[in-house]
Amino acid sequence: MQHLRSGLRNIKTTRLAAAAFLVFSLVLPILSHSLAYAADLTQSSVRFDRMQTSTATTGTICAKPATVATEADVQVVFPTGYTLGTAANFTVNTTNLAWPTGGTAWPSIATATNVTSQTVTFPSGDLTVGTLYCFNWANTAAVSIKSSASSSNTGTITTRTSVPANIDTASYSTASVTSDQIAVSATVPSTFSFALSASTDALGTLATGSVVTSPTPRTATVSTNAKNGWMVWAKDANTGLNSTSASSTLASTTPGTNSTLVAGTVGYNTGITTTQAGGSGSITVAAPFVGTATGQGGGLDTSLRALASSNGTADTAVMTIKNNVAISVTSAAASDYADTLTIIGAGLF
Amino acid sequence: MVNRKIRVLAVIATVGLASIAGLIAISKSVSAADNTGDFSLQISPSPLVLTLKPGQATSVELKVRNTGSQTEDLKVSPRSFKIDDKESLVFDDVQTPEEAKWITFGSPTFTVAPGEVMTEKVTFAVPKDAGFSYSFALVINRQKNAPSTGSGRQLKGSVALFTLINIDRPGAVRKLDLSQFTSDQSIYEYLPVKFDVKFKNTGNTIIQPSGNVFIQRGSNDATPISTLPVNKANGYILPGVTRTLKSEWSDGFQVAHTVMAVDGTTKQELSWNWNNLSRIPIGRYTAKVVAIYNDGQRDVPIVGEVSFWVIPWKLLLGLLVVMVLVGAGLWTFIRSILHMKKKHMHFRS
Repeated sequence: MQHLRSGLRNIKTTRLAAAAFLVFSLVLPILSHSLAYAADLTQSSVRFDRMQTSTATTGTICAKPATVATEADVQVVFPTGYTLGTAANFTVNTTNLAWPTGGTAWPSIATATNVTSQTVTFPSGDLTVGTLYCFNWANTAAVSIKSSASSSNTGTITTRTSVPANIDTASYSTASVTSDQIAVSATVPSTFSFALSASTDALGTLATGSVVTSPTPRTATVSTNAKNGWMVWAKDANTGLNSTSASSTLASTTPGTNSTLVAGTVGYNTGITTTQAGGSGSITVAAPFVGTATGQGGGLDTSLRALASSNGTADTAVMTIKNNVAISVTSAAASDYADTLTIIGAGLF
Repeated sequence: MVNRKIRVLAVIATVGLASIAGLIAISKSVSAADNTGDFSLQISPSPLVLTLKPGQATSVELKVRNTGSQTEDLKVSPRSFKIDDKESLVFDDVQTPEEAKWITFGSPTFTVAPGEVMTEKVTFAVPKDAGFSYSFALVINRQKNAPSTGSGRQLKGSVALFTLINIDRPGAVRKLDLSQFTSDQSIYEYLPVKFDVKFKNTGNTIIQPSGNVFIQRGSNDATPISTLPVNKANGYILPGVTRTLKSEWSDGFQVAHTVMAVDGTTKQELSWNWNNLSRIPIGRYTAKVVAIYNDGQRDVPIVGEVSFWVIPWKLLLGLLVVMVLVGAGLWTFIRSILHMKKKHMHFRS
């Protein structure tokens, strides 16, 4: 009987120990969590005025406390790789430099007292829960952006008591980019060259049996160091070949669309083919003016239409301008069919 | 008598010299009136980008070099352009922009000999009540073109210089929105992955954004797999205008390249970069754009994300076939050994 009681007691003790262990293991994380971690700040941000890699910068720190306590300082952990100056470099001010909405001056904020590794400690006055406080560090010697670009550089802001014990904390994320402002170099000026090979394009005698194309097609040549490329436009003063003596016009074929002329049917268009010796740009002939096939091209009218463009620099980008014309048996005879083509080239921005 | 002879000789000499001078003047004026032949100019800078203050006159120098073979009589005049809803540049070589009234040229008309450089002084007298930004073109072309003779086309060349002016005055708003960030496909077999970063300038000044597209596995990765530039060509975005900037991820093992033939036609070619063998793109990726612009005080980041897959299925299939063949070979080899062993044991027994 005694053995039985003893056994039961042992079982009870074991169960109690197990239950205690279970409760303890459940409660401990909660306790340890509350002991080790502070509450989250309701709102927080660290804004860097410059985000380019390896660039010294000023910035703004904002935080909204969530816990009632008496703050004595605020610790800001800057992202890994950001270079920090000495504590004396972290001079501060509370000028509202486009702070987030509701931002007010951080009370008793002052020059940092300590910089250890990535952590900077600023003295602080007591903060009121629910108020968004901000301050700026005003010296670019304090922080320099890391040397590599990244979309996610993280750090933390923590308010502390005089003990010191953490009150509220929050993490923040920022980015670093390879270039934020465009440096203008004066040593190599940007240039744009444009050349038309001739000022006339005689088409000769036209016949109904064939589509006539410029016997010696003229060229427009572009060379530029403009990184955004170039564009060439054209327009036709008469929207076709016009004869004053015959009061007749061989009209441009459907301006704005690509067409291929057929012998015996009146038509007039301009086809473009291109070559390029070098440069970073790729030439694109505007769809209406693609002129790879015989008699293929687009009609021109009195509005400037883009003939071709490029998206980068160009070394001797040549556009060959082929004027195609076809006549019918009823086309009025004359020897003065003519028009004027205006061609404009420009470097893009 | 002698005096009379001398007087006659002097009159003849004077008349002769005057006639020669007259002929030279006439021939010169003919050449000035009728420029024929090739047209070839180089201008610098291109584009012309300025920040001016209201109520102040600022002069800049524009260099015009005659790279043609004949003396050119040229003129320069401001003209309008706009960017339409399709992001196309619509140029108008007839319309004079409103701001022309406060632009003056040192020499509105000028003559440049072949190989010579003409420095044109352009003065912008910005009125006190000027707006926040202006964009227009300065068009340089011949004062007169040769009259059309016979049948065919007369070609008139012009060079346009895009001019972008920001006015540094209170009320200027620099604001840029990220309208869209997309990849051209959602699933790729190999690189490149092409991204469109579409911005809209919602402020009233001309903006030049920059930044990076980060290729990473997750949204918040601290170390990107690849970092691509945004606005590599340093392009400008005009107020109220939407502009799509392109970025391309192409540093992989298998990459398709666009190859341009001498005749200007393009085709896709697949290349294998063995240096990137250890970095074969495979799986799901996140592209995160961090674009920034300067609002006059600081860098303002704009962030967007897009996900895509890279599945090099042909490469994987090839690898699988190789593995199956190796496995089958191994299996046959082992089976033949086992079979031989069995036969050997059977023989011994």
